[in-house]
Amino acid sequence: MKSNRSMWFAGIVLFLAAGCAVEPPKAPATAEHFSSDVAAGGKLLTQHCASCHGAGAQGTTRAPSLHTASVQMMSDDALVQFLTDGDLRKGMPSWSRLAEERRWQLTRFVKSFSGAGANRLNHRDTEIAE
Amino acid sequence: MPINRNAAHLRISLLFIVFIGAARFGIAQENPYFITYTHHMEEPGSLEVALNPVLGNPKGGAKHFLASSLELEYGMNGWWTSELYLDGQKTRPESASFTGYRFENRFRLLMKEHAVNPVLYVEYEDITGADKILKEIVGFDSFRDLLEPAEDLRHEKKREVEAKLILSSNRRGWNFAGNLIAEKNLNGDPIEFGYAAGVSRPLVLAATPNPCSLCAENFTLGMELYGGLGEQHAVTLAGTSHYIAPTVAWNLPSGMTFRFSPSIGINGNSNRSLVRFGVAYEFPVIGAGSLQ
Repeated sequence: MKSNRSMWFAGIVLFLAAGCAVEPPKAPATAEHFSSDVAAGGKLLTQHCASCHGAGAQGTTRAPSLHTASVQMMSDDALVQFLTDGDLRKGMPSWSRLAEERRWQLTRFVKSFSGAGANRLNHRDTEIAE
Repeated sequence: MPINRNAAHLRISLLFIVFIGAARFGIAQENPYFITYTHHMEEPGSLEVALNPVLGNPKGGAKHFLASSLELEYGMNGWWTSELYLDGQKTRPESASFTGYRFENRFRLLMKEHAVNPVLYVEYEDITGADKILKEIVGFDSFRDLLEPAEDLRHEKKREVEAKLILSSNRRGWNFAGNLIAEKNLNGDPIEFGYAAGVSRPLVLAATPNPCSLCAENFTLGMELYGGLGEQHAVTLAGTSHYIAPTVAWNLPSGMTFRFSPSIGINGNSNRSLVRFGVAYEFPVIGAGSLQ
């Protein structure tokens, strides 16, 4: 009975720990945060996307390149949404299993191929400085 | 001789898991649930191999047992996942035995992500009465089912069809999932009902730039609740058993996932505890379709 109670207690502590997990503070998108997100996105791409899209996301016989204009011209929001939904009929899985923060990191990495994200951020930093 | 064969199967399974542990391919992003299904499907063309042992601590004088299932999960395409389970068990002081197989298919019903995502699950199982995986608790399953010696239960054949409606949702890093279960023994027994529900969340939502193993982003914690809901002539909670289970998953960059969950019986009909372990490895893209 006693061990049952202690297992209950351990379970509740574990569950509360999940709920109270400390998140990094939501900071404004500075260049430093941006480059950190891009690097994290690169890691995520290696872990989750490279087996189909290739190590450099240059495309394989199985999945297209992510350097193409059709991908690079997509807005960040649209790309995050595409990662969330996937294209299940064509075999692109839904990546909603990854937290939204990680889908944004992937998107920033993919968009960094054309420098689009970094350019927008530099422009924004200039505006803020002015 | 069947005992030696089963022991050999177990050894081969363990060697296989050790072998794939040494390999380095992709990474799985597994949720921590053992019982509850979500709307997340296996990636198309990927094969996940998992071993899921469960240590049973029954009550009422039933013997402790170790059961295990070898699980092969394959992504047929973006909306269809198939899975084969091979089950075995060892109850002290009786011999180990292979207890049957289960074959399941999951179909995602909506092609885009919604607030609630439904999945249809269909399973056929051909097992013996000695099967002790206890992956689903349905009908009036209770600790009393384990009182008979496994040697006797081995002769009881169970050919069952099972359907589940899986509802699952992701919100702000949390996953919420609920499963309604209906199981029919083809011998003519009434349809039995059950449920499973789970909630989980990664410890940290954003990834860090550097690869790491023992860091918070690789851990997901959760809680499951599951149990029986009676049968078609008596849908009720009375006489059914229920469990609550904190659960944790650790996804390693090598592609291995370790899971652990102590299920605790929460009413008089439940077993005292069912301690579940899981080790899984995903082989990415072994049957290649094309996204182009």
